[in-house]
Amino acid sequence: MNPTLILVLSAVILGLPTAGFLVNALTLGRLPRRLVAWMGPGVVLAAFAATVVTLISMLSRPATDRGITIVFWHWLNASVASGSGVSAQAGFNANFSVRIDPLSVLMMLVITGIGGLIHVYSVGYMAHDRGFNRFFAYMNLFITSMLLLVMSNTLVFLIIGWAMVAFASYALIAFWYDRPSAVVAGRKAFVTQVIGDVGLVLGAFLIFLNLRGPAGNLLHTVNMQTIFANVGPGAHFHNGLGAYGAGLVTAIGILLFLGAAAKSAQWPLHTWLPDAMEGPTPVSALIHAATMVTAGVYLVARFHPIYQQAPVAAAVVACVGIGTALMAGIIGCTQYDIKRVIAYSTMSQIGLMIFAVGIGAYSAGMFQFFTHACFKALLFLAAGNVIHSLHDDQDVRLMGGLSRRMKWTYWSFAIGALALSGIPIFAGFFSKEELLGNGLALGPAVPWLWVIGVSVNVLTSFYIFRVVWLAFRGEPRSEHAERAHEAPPLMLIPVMILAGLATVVGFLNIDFAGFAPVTVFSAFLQPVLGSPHSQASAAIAGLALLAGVVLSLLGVGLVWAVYERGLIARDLISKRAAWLYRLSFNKFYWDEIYDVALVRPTVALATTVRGLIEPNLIDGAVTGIREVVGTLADDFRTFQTGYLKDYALVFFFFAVVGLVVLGLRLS
Amino acid sequence: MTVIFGIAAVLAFLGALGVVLSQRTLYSALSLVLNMVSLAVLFLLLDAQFLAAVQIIVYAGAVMVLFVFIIALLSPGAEERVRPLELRMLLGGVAAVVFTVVIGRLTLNGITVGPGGRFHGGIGPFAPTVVNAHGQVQTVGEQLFTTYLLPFEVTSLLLLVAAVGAVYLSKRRRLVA
Amino acid sequence: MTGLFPGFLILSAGLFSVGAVGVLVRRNPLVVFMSIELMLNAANLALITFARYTQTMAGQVFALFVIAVAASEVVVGLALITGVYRSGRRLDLDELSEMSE
Repeated sequence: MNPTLILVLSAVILGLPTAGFLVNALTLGRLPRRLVAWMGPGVVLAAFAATVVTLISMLSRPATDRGITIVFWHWLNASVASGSGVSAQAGFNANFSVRIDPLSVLMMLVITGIGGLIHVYSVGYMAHDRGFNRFFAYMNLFITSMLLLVMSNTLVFLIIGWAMVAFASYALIAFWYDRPSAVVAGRKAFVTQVIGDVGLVLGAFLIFLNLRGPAGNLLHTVNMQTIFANVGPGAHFHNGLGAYGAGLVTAIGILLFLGAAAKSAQWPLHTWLPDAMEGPTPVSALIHAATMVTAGVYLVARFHPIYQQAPVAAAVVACVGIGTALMAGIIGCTQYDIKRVIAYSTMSQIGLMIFAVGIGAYSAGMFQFFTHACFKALLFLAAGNVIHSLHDDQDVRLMGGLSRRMKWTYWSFAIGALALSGIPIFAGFFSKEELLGNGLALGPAVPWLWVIGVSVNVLTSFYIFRVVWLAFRGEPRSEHAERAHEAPPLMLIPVMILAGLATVVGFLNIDFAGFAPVTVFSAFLQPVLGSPHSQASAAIAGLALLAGVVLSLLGVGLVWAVYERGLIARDLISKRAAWLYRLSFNKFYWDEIYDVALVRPTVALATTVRGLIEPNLIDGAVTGIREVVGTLADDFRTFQTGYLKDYALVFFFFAVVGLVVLGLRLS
Repeated sequence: MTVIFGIAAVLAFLGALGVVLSQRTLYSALSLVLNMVSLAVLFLLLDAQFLAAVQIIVYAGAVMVLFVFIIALLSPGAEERVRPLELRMLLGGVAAVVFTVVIGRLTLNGITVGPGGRFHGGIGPFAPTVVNAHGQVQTVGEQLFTTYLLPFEVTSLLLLVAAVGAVYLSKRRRLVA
Repeated sequence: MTGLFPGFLILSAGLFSVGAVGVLVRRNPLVVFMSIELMLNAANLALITFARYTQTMAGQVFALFVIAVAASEVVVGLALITGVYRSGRRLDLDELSEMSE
């Protein structure tokens, strides 16, 4: 790879969305809409083009030479000079540098590619919105932040991108700031993100403090390449920490995962994602399906050298992932808000990705991320078409029969549902089967997790086809649904492109030679992520595949039986196992639990502080100072009579005192 | 000589007290005249005949006439008595007494020793006999127009400014808004 | 004669103190002016005493200047007093004090 070319390309990729944001923001939304409508998607698509050029340039190199670090400028350089036993690498040096390697290019492709399509879609979706320019400013800012997150080569800029993503997400969720529920949802998302940020920053700080180089010296570096080079097997991460070394690595892994869990909406930091559906639907597609929520997967994959050293942390990651996948799947089955169903589906699918990266199947997790970005953005955008044509009705009970009026949207949504369910030939099939095949093959305790993961398939296909049936089939159940109309081309074309992608991207990973150990997609990521510890044997992989497909079809069949033919009563579960239904319908009561466990004590504490400490201690200190000063001032003010003669008197008096002193010294 | 000093000193001091203590402004002015005349006598005792004359002419003459004239013009009534033992009076009185005592103590300590004692200023060429032989007025005049010419001219400027200022202030208009 | 010098100086200090008390205590501006004259005269007495004591002329010449300054001060001061009087105010320094509240 030509460093100069890559430098220029990365500058373009990072710079264009930034410029788009700045131009839009600094003109305070006064640009003409037509210009913004071209500029907003334009900068992102141009960045996509530059990313494709980067990819082509990368593919022209041998697999071992596909990583390059570009230093844009030096910043905060406090390096220690080499010599006296200190390595030349030592010293703090937060350069602004980007890392271009297969992993970051994959992320960039999704961010700019899917992101660009969503931008185009937004031009149609937001066409009549007052905040059109503001929307594209935020969207471009989000793209910039996300790119910074995945491209950064230093922990410092990774954290900056991480935090900027949280801000952009906050701004977009609370985009309709005149809706109280949107503002509250934005705030909730942001607070949750900040909790995760704390974990990420603490983890990064522990790495910075404790990482040792080959000579056992402390490195104090934030350069991620240096970090990864020194935490691997046979490295010196444990040096100087003795028995606490393993605990330290585990702590770092869990702290980093706290950040990942907040971004990726994993238990226990998951409650913000369903509420985030208050934002405009393109936002849900961009942030809450394709990019931001997968940042956690990226983080774990990127820091996999650390997780390989911390089996406990990795196990925690895997368990949290699979648990979230199951929980979100159960919740998704009973929700009526079309976007919330997809949101829980996202949570569930990302749970599977997190599970994958937790068990060490990094490239399987990234492949699931890749296909998921396509079909989940597709589902959201198709749902957006429905919502748009139904005048912002999101309740599937008010829909029905839309397949006749919105044929294209219906088929696109159906393709998305098939891909999500893992029905063969669609994208999700390949990624999910690879993921679950890996899951079955890795480690002794993993089969139990695999059983859970594969069971999630039933739930997945059930809840998504339930939406298909409720929304698109049957008879219209509301006035809006009767008068629904197909979306305009600007909103339909991105959906159809995504539908095409959701159909074909799965084949990227197939090598047409059976279940060979290394597949195309994994081979591409292999220089960064390495090969999985062990590969599924053909028999195991075949078994996993078969089980997955059968269970997915079972889910579809259930929907067919319940909603199409009425063979099973709809209220079977709610009647026979009311507790399960209530648990699912009320989202496992997590919001209520947090309300009782965290929100109310905090509010009570704040009220107490306001009632007792604020007036007595804080105000008391202030008024106390005022009183002391006031009293002193009143006392001293009596000297300031304002009569010239009093001043003369004092002058004379002290002149005499001076004379007395002088006289005593002379005599 | 000591007798004359004593009488003049007592009269001067009484005059000073009269200035400060009189309730009527005119009595104050007359006490001041007494004080100044007594001081002129003391000047004579100190072999400063020229200054004694100036004292009588300028002070007891011009300045005091001006004062009396203004008093007659404005005829200010008696001011209210200052409240006895007012803090201001107490502090001022104490300071005044202490001041006098300290000066007296210092002079008794220092000056009685005479030339060559504590006072290192040395002895100048203008012994009274020399001055009187040359003529008192001549001596002062020579000094004024030679050594002290510049201050003398500045004084003339000061007097001019004072005259202009007095004329300006006396013009018929509201002085204070 | 020489033995009387302390007497002259003590008298001078006493006159100065009486004048100072007058300035500080009295409220009639005319009397305050006279007290200032007193203080100046006391200074003059000290000057002339020292001139005689050191057998120099500087003290006498300086006393002459003091008299000139005193005269000009009286002229301006009395002009001010008549001005204040004409503006219809009582001749009371405490009431005239602009620095007072």
